[in-house]
Amino acid sequence: MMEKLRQDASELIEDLEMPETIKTPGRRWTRFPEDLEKETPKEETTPEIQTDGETEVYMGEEALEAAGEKAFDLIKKDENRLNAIHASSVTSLIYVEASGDSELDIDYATERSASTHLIIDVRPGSNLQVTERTDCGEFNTSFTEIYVGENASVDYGAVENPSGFSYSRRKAIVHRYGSINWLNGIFSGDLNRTRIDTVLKGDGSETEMTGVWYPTGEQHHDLSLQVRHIGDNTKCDMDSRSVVDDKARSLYEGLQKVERSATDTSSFQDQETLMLSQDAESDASPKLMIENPDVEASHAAAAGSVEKQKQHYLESRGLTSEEAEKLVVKGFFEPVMEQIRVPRVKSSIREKVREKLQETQV
Amino acid sequence: MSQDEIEKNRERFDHVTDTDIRYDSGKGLSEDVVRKISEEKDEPDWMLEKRLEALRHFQRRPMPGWGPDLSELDVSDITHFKAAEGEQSDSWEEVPEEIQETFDKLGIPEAEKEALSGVGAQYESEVVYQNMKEEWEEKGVIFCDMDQAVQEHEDLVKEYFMNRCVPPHDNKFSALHGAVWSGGSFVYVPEGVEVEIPVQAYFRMNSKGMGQFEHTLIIAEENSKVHYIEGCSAPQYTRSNLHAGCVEVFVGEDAHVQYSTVQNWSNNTYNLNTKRAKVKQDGVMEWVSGSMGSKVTMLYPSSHLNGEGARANHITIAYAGDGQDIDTGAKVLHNAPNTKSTIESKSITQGEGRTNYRGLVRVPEGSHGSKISVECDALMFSEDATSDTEPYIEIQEDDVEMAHEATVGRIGDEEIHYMQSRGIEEEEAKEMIVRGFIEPITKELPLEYAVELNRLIELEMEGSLG
Repeated sequence: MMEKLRQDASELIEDLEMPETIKTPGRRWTRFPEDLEKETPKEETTPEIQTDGETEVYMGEEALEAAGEKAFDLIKKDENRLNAIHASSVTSLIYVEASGDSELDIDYATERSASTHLIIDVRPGSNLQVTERTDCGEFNTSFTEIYVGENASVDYGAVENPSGFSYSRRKAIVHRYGSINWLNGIFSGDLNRTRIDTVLKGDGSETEMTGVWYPTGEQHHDLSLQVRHIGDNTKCDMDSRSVVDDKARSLYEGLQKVERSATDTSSFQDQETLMLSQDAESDASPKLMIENPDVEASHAAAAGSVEKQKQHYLESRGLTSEEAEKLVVKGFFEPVMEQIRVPRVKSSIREKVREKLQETQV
Repeated sequence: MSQDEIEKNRERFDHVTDTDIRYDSGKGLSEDVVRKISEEKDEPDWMLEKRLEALRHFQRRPMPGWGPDLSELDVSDITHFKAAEGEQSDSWEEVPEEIQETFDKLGIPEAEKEALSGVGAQYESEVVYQNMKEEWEEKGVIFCDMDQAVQEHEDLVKEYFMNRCVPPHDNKFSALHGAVWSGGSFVYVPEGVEVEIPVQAYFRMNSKGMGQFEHTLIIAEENSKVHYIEGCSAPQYTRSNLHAGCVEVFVGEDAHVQYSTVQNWSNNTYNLNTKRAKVKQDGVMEWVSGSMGSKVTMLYPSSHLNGEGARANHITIAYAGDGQDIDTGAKVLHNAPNTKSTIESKSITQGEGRTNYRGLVRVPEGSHGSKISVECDALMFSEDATSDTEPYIEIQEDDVEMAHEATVGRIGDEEIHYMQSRGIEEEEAKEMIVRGFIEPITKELPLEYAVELNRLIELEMEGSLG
């Protein structure tokens, strides 16, 4: 079955376009390298998996069989060329059924390139805490499909730490009174594109979507968060923060879509960027698409330099410029850190931020 | 307002007058048509060349691959140039009677009686009525029909016209405009001159299946000040109409230009404009736009802040009723240090209407000290309405302050109930809320325009609620 999946997907590659990217007059926000399919990993990945509570974990061939129609259903193989490349080169496929209160921790620690695919069925009324960590090679794709049952809740955390090209695609569908709390941290990778989608299908379903990213050097990190409100009385809170240094680029696209069927919706989006270097770039496009007037929706975006906030520390505490800057950066991420419900992820994000601050220190 | 009164009011804005047509370039667009237009206007060769260059761009360029649906727009089925019977005239008495009737309904003579300084009224494609205060002429201010400017101020027009601001190849519809433009206003304000009373022009298109392509060119020299106002109102027709105007503004050092427009196109008009200002050091550009009516509007006034300390303020209000797609916004390029922009966008959506804010703010490397504030608010009145917000922000400099905010919602039931408890009818309560909502724009406009904008919105609301 795995072989057939790879084979079917590889036949799709040629006819598909690269994922859509924002175009403004004279500019294209993200350009994907040509011939990516030649870079794809050839060897299986052996992830380290830790579980706690009532989870059934299936891998590889068994996973594909047990997942059945849930595999590549939320995220289609033929959505774009990269999706097909991912499916044609899957090196790890995991299917998890979670019930009761459970935890799942997956570490794809490998030096090699990897294409990982995780499918989770969260049974009605259960609570799951899940983390994914990538430390992969030159080519990395990371896909996550999550089915959140009625009254179920999921706390999801990803820490992305690839070295070359990385493309992540995550999507959840949330049924009645279910909830998902996403956190995605991106700390390395020359070109990283991550898109997370939540479909609030059931009445009373909720999501929090949090992105943290910190491109430095000549890194290009592109995060897209999208929510679709379909059911009645659904809630979304998107909150993202990026710090951008050196000649790096931070890109953000947020979309709050309230469909005609959705009444009594609340939807909020906030994105802030802290710019540490005059050669850095921050591009943002927070969008609203509203088809039902019974809504409270807003978004906000802000960008600014570190200088002003730094001044405060310099003057009041007598710190050096460098020390003050570090304090500002650490403080900048704190408001979103407070929303993180998975302790493991919180501590590893803090660690990554510290590492980044050390890296950029001259 | 009773149904009769509504109908009467509609008639004021949606009416057709039989007028003899002096010249008609026929349907469709070819090099021949473009040559005919230029010949009829007795234009210099360089203008004909510019038109032909624009035509080539237009023919080569595809339709825009983004934004509202333009698939029903058949450019080949639109007549490009019509001039009403009657020569240019300086006094109201010489204006043909039917045209006078049209303007009477729009209140132009009243504005004249109140001694508003300059009234250039465009009927179909040519200015038939122009007036200007003598004192301005003494100061060297020029306010005339664009066609006349080509003849009388050729050097200025040649230097600025679709050259340094909006070149014909800028986009599909600026190319079309460049090929077939006709009429519009030319405003020149010399160094140090402040024009205290707003300069006004009233535009109107009035013939079946006809496009209107007026060109407005405003040049404000160093340390000068001017406020230009343009209003539009078109009668209702069943056939697709196209309006592709172009506005070019040059704001000199320390100069201040305000461009205000209230547009009310009939519900079958495709209103596709290109409006752009180039602003020098410490210059200020203010765009105030009220977009109503039309089938589709695409309007994104843009400011290129090219000199240090230049500023731009954009205020836009969009109203979309049933079947209308009003896609408006702003574009600001912060091309110099310490430049500042504010964008305030308000929209109201009714019936199956759609409004969209589409905005681009770009701060290239080196433009340190730039400040940007964007605020978008949308009110939705109907279950079937759509309200979108699509901002794009590109910042390549760390020393900037950028803040963007947007909200969408409906008028709260509590607000309405509160007002009802004070003895105000529901309809009236809604109108009051809307008036408050659009106040940021009405307070920027002279009284008669503010009154008209309020009336138009009331009319639209009454129409769709009653």
